[in-house]
Amino acid sequence: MTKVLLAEFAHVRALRDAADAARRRGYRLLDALTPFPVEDVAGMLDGRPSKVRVFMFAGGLLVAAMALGGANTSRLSSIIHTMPAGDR
Amino acid sequence: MSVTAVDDAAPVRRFTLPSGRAYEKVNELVAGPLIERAGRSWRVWWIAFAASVALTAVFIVSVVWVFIQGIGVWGLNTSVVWGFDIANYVWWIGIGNAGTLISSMLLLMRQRWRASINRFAEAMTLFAAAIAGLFPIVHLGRSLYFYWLTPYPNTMTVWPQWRSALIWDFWAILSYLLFSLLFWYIGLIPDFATLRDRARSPRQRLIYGALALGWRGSARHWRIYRLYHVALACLGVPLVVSLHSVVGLDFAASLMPGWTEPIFPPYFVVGAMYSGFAMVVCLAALVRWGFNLQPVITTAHFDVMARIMLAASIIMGLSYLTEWFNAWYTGERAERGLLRFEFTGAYAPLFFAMLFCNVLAPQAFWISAVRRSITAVFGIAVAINIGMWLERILIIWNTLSHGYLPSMWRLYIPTIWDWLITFGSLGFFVFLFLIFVRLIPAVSMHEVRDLVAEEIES
Repeated sequence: MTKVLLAEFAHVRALRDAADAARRRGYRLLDALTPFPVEDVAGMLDGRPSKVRVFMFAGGLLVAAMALGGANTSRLSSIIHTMPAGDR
Repeated sequence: MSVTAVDDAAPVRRFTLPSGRAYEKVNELVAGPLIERAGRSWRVWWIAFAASVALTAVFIVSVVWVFIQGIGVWGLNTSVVWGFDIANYVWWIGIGNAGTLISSMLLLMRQRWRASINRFAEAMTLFAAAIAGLFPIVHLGRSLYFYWLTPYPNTMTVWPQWRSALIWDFWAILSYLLFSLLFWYIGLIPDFATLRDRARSPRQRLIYGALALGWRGSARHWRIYRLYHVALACLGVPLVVSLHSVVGLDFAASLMPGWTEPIFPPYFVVGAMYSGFAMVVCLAALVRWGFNLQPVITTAHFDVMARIMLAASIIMGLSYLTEWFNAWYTGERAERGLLRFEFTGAYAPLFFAMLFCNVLAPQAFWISAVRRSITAVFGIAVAINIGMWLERILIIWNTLSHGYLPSMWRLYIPTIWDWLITFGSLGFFVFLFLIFVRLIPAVSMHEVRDLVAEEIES
């Protein structure tokens, strides 16, 4: 049976030491809930690194492409394919 | 045997007081007034709010009056075609620069003390940039056509003039506003979660909970948060530099004496940071006093900010000297004439007042006692804000009043509507800021907790 251990710490250092000790004894670190980012503990967690920057980059490219495409489309539609309206 | 005393205790600058050096204490200090309204007095807030509502009404009336009557209600004439409206625009954009300076640049430079002041500085940025964006629109005269600045398919074959600085402004402000809003909100998510967890009523829990997007403070959350926040900060730095550079180009891309100077973009950026920082100091003093945040906004903060303002004042002084030297060095009649006009013309008293506020007064910051006196730093910061506003108006007035054709030399006499729209915009800013401090934590709780952890460990 899998056992889950929960613990509470008053200070960052205690949390960091405990997390490190538990990991060295072969425990798997599930999560740590902290009131602010604790870099070392986040590094001890399992799982692959976050892909947030890849998504940011892809989002940026997408918006840039949309802006360029949109600008060109509207430019073409207003300059080359002028719609006659009101005798203009 | 001898005993040697070694003084290795270099004075450590503390940015939190012992009374605030506990995580729960930080939450209590910042979230307390928002969550437990009953037990606290909001009287000063209500008085300030009433005044700001009145001034906001003045702002709305003065804008509507311009819509009805046209921009002729201001003191504009055929020579001085820009007035308070454009000066206010440049000034507000400058104020709007400092929030990102504090958030992005100081974040990337690992200046931890920014934790106590970045939240309201970012709010300031957002409101100031939004107000700034209104001025060029009002200045258009036919404001209802402002959407022509956007490239959109239309039947009139109207296309934005990409060589016009007005278009650059439009894009610069729009991207900056979007960025500031996103950056501000991302930083707020962990704090909304704190408010959600401390909420006293179901309504509070629902609203703050929805805004917190399910934040639990998990190590995974923090990791993603940090990655995203730092990446955004990297985007913010070039944006903030580009924003005021573009404003500088509004002037530098023209062909007027005193404006056609390559120094303008960097000079405008430094000026913007300078005035924005001065505004942050004023707001920091007020927020600290209003919310009893002495344990987390300390004299050490004011000391550091005073140093930054001192450095900026020296750069401003050097920029003025460079301008004067260049005007003389070109040997051009109009440039030299303008320089003479600046020092001896009708606006000279304002010019000297500006030099006093922007260059001379901040030199008091060389004295440590002045930097550590909040009253003194606040007073000088107000002077800097006035000085920077004078600089904005004088850049416009001097050049346009003293152009190439002597027969066209005119002075600008501000009308009541000039003053009303100026003070009205200030009131509108205060109005937005007061709403912000009542609903949203004015200080970033999670970043201050981080700062506290560091100061406990050190």
